[in-house]
Amino acid sequence: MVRATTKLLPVTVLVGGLAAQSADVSEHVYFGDLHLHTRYSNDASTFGTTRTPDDAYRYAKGEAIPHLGGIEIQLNTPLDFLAVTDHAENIGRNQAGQNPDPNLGREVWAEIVEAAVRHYAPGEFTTFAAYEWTVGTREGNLHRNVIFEGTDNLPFPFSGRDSRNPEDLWDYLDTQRANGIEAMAIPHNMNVSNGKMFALVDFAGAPMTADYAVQRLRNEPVVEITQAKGTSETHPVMSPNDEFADFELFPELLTANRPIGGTAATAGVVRVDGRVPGSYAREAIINGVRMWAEQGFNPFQFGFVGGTDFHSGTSAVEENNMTSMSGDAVDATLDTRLVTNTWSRLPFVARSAAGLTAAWANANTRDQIYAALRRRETYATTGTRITVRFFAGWNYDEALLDDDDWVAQGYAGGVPMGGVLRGGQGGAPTFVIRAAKDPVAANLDRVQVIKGWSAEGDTFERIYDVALSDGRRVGPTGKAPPVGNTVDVMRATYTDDIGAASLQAVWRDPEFDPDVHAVYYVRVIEIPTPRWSTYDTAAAGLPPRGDVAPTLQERAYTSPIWYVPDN
Amino acid sequence: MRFRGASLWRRLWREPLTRFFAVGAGLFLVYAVVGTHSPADDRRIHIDQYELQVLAALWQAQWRRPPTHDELTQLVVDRVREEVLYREALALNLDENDVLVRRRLAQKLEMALNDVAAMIEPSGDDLRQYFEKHAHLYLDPARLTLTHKFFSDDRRGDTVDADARTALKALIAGDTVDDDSFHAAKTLTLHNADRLAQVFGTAFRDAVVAHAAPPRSQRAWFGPVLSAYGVHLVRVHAFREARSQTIGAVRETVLEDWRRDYVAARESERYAEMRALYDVDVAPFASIGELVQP
Repeated sequence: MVRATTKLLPVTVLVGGLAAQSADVSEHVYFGDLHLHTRYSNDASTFGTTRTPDDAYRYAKGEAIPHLGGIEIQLNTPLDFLAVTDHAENIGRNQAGQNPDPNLGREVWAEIVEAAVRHYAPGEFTTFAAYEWTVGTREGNLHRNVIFEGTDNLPFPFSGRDSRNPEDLWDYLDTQRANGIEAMAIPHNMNVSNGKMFALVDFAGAPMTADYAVQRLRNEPVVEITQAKGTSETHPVMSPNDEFADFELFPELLTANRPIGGTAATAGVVRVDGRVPGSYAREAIINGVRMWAEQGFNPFQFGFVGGTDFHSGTSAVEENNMTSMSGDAVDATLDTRLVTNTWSRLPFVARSAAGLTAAWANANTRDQIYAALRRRETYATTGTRITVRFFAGWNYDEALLDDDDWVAQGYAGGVPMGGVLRGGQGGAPTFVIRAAKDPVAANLDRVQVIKGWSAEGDTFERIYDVALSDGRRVGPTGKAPPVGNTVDVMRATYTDDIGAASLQAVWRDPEFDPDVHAVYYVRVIEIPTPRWSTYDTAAAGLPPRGDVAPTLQERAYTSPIWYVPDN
Repeated sequence: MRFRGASLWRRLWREPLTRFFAVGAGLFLVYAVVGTHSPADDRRIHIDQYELQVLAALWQAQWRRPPTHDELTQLVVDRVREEVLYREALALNLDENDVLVRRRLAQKLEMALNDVAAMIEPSGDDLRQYFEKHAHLYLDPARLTLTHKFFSDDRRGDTVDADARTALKALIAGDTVDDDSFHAAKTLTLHNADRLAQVFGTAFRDAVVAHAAPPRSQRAWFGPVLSAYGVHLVRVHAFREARSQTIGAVRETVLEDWRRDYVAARESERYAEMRALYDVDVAPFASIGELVQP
């Protein structure tokens, strides 16, 4: 059943743009990390990480594990799923002391898959066999994580050594699929791709075709838009009217200025920021609807997920419980996190304690979570566990949120996040949105709908505050007043005296044009809370650092819903 | 206990520590023959055939083909350059007080010791004793099914608690009540009761489990129970306490845990031996305040 859906999906997505929806109602949301490195990633090993995939899974399940300095670390809230994604390139070799044994990689890959098998507890905790395809050019990052649906008969990873062209990775995934091995690639760090991840041409620089778009979406249904190395949603340059666009930015190219033949230690100390256009997901999905309208295909019809990309073997995503992102030699203790780390050109403190993938499903099983990724019924968070539902339909009852069966009505009368809404009878569609706070974290500030569309060759975006806490209203300037800030930055505390425990809206687009392709997604924003670096400085009795914001507003980004006119 | 596999010696030889000792022994022999240490030896870099083989093999592993002659030549040039810089850096004591170098070396030693310990297989008795001692770690978690009525803080404000109490009386009397819609399901079955915290918050979980578990074993409507979102009335339909499992059901997990504890215990022993070789002198400190600038 699931397999049949995954095979049909890429065809239905593009040919006629039929909604890729199943009739099933997803009852539960599950939170996990689809991007974590262990000692088998050579860079992680260099950063001093000795944790294995077993350690990573145990920590994700909520077990206490030992940490540098003789302490134990433990998540406050366990994850529901985890994919260990070690770099495929020379996998495990650094950890084994530059061992030249040609069989080493296969042994390590087998161990990674076995750990995923061992820790899978259907209904309780899901694991994925996975790896990272790492193509770090000096010009920009094109990294993808490859997530396998199953764990049987898996091939040895196709790595950045096999090809630096993502289209070759898609060919490899297509070949595997033809042989019964289902997998997908999830791009990340588009923000440091120097405009390459969402360029409007193919890898060779030629114009995209419908076939290209079909193959891309078949293999890349979702993208990771928040993680340790920053946000890939949007950038103030692209979204000057978005007062929340300046969030956890990490613009610096990862390997720029490293002289050829040099080493990390001799890498330049000059920062080079990447090209912004082509590097952020919001711009891409809007370019996608423009291409859909103008050319009949959309290469950027993807959903959103989040991950950590931590290299410490621990998805320590909680701001108040961030124990290490990179490894023992870099940031596993308060002192090393607080002093400016010279490992990267940006101060270490610029890295984010983010993010998580939320997947709507009926059970916490590998099949169900994978199917949610396939149909894009997912959202990304910056580490918090906001619950958010997002439906669009033509004939919803305006009062459905008062009903106990509002979720069933949502599915029956329209499409959930990730879906495609086809043209109606000329009126505007209704969007049903319901968000609830993380029950162990902060209240919500607002819910926003972000709309993108194109007209006469140009692209446009507009942000609507559709639900605000504390009785606030959108003013004549189109902006709502800020929610306020209760954070004591010296103590790293906040109160829930502001904000709301839940927010909801039944919303119609006031500028809806039935003839124009459009894309909508929801952003849910928490009230300000201390950033992880502020918890650190408070623990040390120091004032907050001056080089990063002391507080942040955690958030969730839903996968989009696309509107396609009937013509 | 026995060593796993027949490849121990092959694995041992692959271990950097073994190499380290072997190279150390070789150096000792060289010094014994040549006599006193001379500065000229520090200035000699010898890339032997074994190292050339290693360089070629690493290249092949990386690029899936052997290096060309020019590429191998370049690898050797890079290797020599690294060695020269490395020795000059050592001569300048640049390795001292470098946290990266220090931790990396300390970890290499730990990992070399641990990998040997990780090859040990426990006997059946070892494993059973370990399982019995740690039985509390291998419980099948408590399960429950509940229905709840929800009264929203955001919607009802000051009357939320009174509304819930009135509704509770009605429910107990068998009447229907008009509650608020909730963002999650009104009837839930959880295979791990702890996970209630992820839907409602920790206070709600603790209160519901306390009511549902013996001795109270509450199955009628009760409340108000507070969550992160408001006030709830709860009826638990079924509750099964956490229960122990047989070792057979969890053998793989027990084995993994046994091995991890075994490795950690051996590491502690070895560290204690090494630590005993050192006199450690730490400056006294009374308060953090005298060490940290406000």
